[in-house]
Amino acid sequence: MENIGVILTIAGPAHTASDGAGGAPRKRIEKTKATSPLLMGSPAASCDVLGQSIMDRVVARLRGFGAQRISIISEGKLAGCTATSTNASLYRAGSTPGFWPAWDSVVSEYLNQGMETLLLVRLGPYVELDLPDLLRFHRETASPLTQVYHRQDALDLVVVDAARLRDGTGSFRSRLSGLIPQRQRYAFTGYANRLTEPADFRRLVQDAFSGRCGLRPVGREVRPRIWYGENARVDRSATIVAPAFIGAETFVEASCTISGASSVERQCEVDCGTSVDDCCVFPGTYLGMGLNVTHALVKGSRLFHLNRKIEMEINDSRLIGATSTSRQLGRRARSVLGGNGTFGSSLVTRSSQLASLLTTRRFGRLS
Amino acid sequence: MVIKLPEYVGAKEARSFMRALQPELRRDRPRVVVDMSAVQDMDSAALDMLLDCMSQIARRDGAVKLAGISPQAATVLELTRMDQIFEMFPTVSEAASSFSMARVDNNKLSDEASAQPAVA
Repeated sequence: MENIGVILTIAGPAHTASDGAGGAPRKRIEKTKATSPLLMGSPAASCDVLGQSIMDRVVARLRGFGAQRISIISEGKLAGCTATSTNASLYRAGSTPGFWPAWDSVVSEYLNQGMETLLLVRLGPYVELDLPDLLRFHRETASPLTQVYHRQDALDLVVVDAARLRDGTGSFRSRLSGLIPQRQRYAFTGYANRLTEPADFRRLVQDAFSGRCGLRPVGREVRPRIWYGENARVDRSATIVAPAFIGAETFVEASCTISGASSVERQCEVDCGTSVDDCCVFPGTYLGMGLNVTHALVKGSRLFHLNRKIEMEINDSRLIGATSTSRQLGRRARSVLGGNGTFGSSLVTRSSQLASLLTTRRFGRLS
Repeated sequence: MVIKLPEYVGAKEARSFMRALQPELRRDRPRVVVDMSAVQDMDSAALDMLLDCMSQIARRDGAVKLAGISPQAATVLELTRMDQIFEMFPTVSEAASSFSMARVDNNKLSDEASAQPAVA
């Protein structure tokens, strides 16, 4: 692969889709469909999908194609993402000098290192790009700038001839703008998911389970289409219906049911008797006892209901919330000491007790 | 009796609700409709409150029905499986009219029951 430098940009929580700060080439090259970079309060790129964040997966994919120099410019803190984990240069532009000066300095660094081509990507949509094919197209058309299109929609994915950025005056951002009239369109026909809404994220997980995209769960396939991450603990009485993903260091307690192509990411806890159906549970989430979590994305105390299309904060840690460090340590200690997972039954909330009793009385069985 | 819940229902609101419920509980066969159209947020104190209300009314052979449930309240009720133990109606008027329909049905049943021996 030729000498290529990659710049991945991620907008932070402070910006919305309209200001374009997260997308280096977006507004100036071609207005794409409004895309929100945030998913339940954090950039979609930093969210885990079946054991690995989208950003880490994109970086790994680019490395697989031979891209050596990758820089990530983020406006906010990226949870679970470090320069070490991605093996890329990580810039936080949330403080000084700001997004565009940081972007300009990375471009300058790449040009000084003699890069021939720059790939500029705004991480928001998930795109399984065939990088060699894109670069071939870029070379064949001899265009200074190539923009990727998917079904007539412009994606925030651009290849730029580095030599053309070296010439000229002013900031690299303005030089890039000067190349827009000469751009070529590259029609991408592979898998792309814009991740503009929570439902898109859910679809991405479903597509990964069904093999419609190239995402693969990070973990051990313990039964056909059921994956467990490292140190995942599932009680023997729990029911896991394929396809499903249980992330690393996650606890699924007694009598739980995980079904409907659900993913429960790393360091979560699903407490006794809870059902999780058609859900994505984000890392570090606690689901209380006896709950029925369906058609939802859950991240800490935030819950997005996919059918009702509402996002709500549930301010009651007995129902849902963040997994506390002490609880996580306790679970780990009990698993080391050979606990049978029934310890938590002494912590039944009054609501779930009463609800169970009334359900039993009314229907003659526990639901 | 119709009781409308506020936007947020926590421990304080639950106490107010239970106080408001007392006069109805003194009656025989109390009938209560809880209007949940304004509820945006509720915690487990609110869920306890609904269950307390249900059990106290059931002891007096009455009924409690939930009406106009907001999407947020519906989500919490579904999450805690309480949607399976309460009767729920789209509007307060539908919930209220369900009481009178139940009475008609009961009367009809008792008429049929009393008529049976004559037929036999």
